[in-house]
Amino acid sequence: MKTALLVRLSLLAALIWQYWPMDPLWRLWLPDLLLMVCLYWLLRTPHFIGSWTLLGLGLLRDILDQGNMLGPHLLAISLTAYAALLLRPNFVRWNLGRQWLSACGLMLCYLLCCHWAQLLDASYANKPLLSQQWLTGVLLWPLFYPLMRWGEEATSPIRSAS
Amino acid sequence: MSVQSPARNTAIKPIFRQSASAARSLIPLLLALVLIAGFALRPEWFAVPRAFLNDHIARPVSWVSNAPLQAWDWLEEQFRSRAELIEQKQALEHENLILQRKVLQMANLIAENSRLKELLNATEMVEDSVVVAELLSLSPDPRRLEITLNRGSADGTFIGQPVLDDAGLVGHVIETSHHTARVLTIADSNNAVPVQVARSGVRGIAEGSGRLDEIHIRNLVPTTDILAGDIIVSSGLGGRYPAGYPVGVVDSIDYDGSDAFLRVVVRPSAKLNQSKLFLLLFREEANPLAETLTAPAPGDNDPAIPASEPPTTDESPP
Repeated sequence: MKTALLVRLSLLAALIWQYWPMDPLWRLWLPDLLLMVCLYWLLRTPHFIGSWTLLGLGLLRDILDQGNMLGPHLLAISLTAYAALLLRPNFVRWNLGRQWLSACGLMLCYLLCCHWAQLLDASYANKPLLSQQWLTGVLLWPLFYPLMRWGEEATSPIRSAS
Repeated sequence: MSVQSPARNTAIKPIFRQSASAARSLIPLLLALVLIAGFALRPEWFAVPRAFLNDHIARPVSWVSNAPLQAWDWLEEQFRSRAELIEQKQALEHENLILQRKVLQMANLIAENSRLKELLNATEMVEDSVVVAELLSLSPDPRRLEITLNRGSADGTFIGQPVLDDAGLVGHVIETSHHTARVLTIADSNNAVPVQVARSGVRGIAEGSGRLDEIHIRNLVPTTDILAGDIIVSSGLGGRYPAGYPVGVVDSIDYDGSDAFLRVVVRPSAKLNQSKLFLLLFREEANPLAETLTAPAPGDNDPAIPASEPPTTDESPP
């Protein structure tokens, strides 16, 4: 129950962080925290992130990003989630380095899927890939993952019972 | 100690739920593909749903995101000292005096301009009126230099409408919903503004660079009469932006000899990353003689507001 609450709260906090009013120059380097939180829960406890949650998150991002089209974020999040769920059985057994590499790959998958889908909209034709966001996400993952894990363990029912 | 039978083992409920099936994430994928294909084939179908979603989802979320900053501003306002407020009032009074003097000069210029245009048989005079709009949100995508304002089609906002702030041209409206308007700023790389140098009258096209602090004027030959520090104003060509509004100041001019054209960098006049209040410009045809006659008298408190206000005009901030 506590973990479910933590999942929802972390997604909400990441959403607010993602859409916090900020200078575009800063935003260029802002890691995609919503994606990182989503990936973490998909890789750790995927039963808390169902298809309806993914659908809601993807559509919400498409609406809030205020582009002309709906769908690029939804497409990217569903493909990334599919890849994450395929990786998950092995992910929990891997060491931190390999986990980090797979998280980098998943974040890149999201970025590319979203960018390619957005290119169908003519207004994105001359826009560059947001590689800075990916880079900061990659650099922050080794800090982000243990922090989230600490939060998860602090609220897990097994630990609470003990 | 009894040993459980295999049949009984199967009846035990699992303590942990089964992990989610990867295939379940394909449901949103299908919807995404339908949406993207729909956009590629029939983009016009998306205009109405987008406007609805902007009004009912994006606007409340933007409001929630802005709420902490607005609360901070409010608190700051409450705790501002009396001395600070008096100082601010004095500064505003001084500024008002300077601006009134400029308005008086401007009134004479307008009258003179009208008479000259009459002499030249100019077919129409254009009078601008404005609606004040408040910044609702910035585009979360840093590649799109767009802003959302809290005025929509309900306030008469229309696509292509020019937007200003107190310092210069900001951009134009590219999408409206009932209560919001999305504005493409002049710094966005998808925007271009026909401009001219105020000093020499040289015309050009100012293109957004994708950065808020600079725009570029291209295709000017090295012999063009343009200098660093020149004021760039909108030329009015193309009909989207009205003529004469400040666009920026020439920051630097580069010519390396290998290119046929100058590389002119302009610093936008509008405070694109600071302004919170904007002006949506409405253009009305006006009688030049009437404008001459309604030129403000000395001591008039608010001479800049046109005599015949359109019904949509709202000079007070929302």
